[in-house]
Amino acid sequence: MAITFSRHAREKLEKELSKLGVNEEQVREAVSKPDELLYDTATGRYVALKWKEKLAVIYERRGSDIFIVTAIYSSKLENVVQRRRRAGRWI
Amino acid sequence: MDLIIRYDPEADVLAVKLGEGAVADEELLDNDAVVGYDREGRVVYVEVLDASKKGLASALARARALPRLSLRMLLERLEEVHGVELPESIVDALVDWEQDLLFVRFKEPSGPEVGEPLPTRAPAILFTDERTGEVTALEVIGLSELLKELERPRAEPLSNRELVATIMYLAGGRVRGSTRLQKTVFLVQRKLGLGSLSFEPWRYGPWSRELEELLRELEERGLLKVRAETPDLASEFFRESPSRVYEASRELIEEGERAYARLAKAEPLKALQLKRLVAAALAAPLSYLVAYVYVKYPEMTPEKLHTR
Repeated sequence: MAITFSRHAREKLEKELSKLGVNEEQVREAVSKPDELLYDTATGRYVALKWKEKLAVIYERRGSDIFIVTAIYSSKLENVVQRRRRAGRWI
Repeated sequence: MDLIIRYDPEADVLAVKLGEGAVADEELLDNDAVVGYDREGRVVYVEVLDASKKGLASALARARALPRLSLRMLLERLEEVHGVELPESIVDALVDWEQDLLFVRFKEPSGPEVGEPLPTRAPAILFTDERTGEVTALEVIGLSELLKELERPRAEPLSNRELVATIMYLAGGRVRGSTRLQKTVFLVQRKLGLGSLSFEPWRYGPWSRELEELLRELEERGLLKVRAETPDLASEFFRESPSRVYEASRELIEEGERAYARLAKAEPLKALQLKRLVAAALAAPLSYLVAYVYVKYPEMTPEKLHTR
């Protein structure tokens, strides 16, 4: 399984999230060993969650490969997940 | 900082960088926008997921059109200053202000490209298709330096005499009434920053002794004729009684034409504004013109009017 990063995700990791201690390795870890994996019913993308790291990684499955769209670091991750689950957006 | 907008078509993410601060937290909103905040809670950036599906594609196209317009102007200036010929169409362009880089792709090459430095102070390389010889790309390292290099020289400021000559040229060589001429010169100076005459509050608003002296000097040199005129019916209706009509000589009109052309070359927008302002000031009834100046520049109205 090859993991590729979108240009946006790579730039965001380099320029923004690195300041929060989030790096490419953590994103790979989140995708390969997520604490929880959700499916986005609106976009068909997947959301890999790492609770302790407050990290959500949004990715697409392209055959056997994975394409990372973006990574989100949020202290309010639980609230977002709850809200989206209730709305049936993430299942 | 400059607003940085980036769109990644493959991920369909639009990212807008708004501030310099380091991100401290992010929030995923219900509309699929991710907002990055700094420690003080200020928004540092916004990214929009599935941007094209949210109707941002057309907005993005409009947003991209503006920098492209400026880019076209930059390339035209580069052609003008350094005599290079660049293709009309642009396939892609990347401006990175942080790295101070500009990359313009005019055409995808059919094979290897050959780079050749341009005679600019800022390092710039023009790429051509090795096989066809067509220009394919331009890369500038030190964009800010190139922009400075290509900046148009500012117009030599108009002297007071040239300012009067230009107004006479734009007026078709004739201005009726000293009050009108004084107000016109005053407005041009205040609104467009042309000329350096000092004005003081007088009976009908701002008046310049220096301008009076300059007009007298031009008259003495035979460049300006000043004659008395009996008011016609229209001017009587508007209660205008121009005691003086100023008529410029051919020589003075030509001097004004040259000064105007110089201004138009260096600052075309200002030249257009000048033309419009002079036309408006000359066409308006004198009472309107004076009232306009009173309202706009109350500090230049006579003290008596202030107290009313």
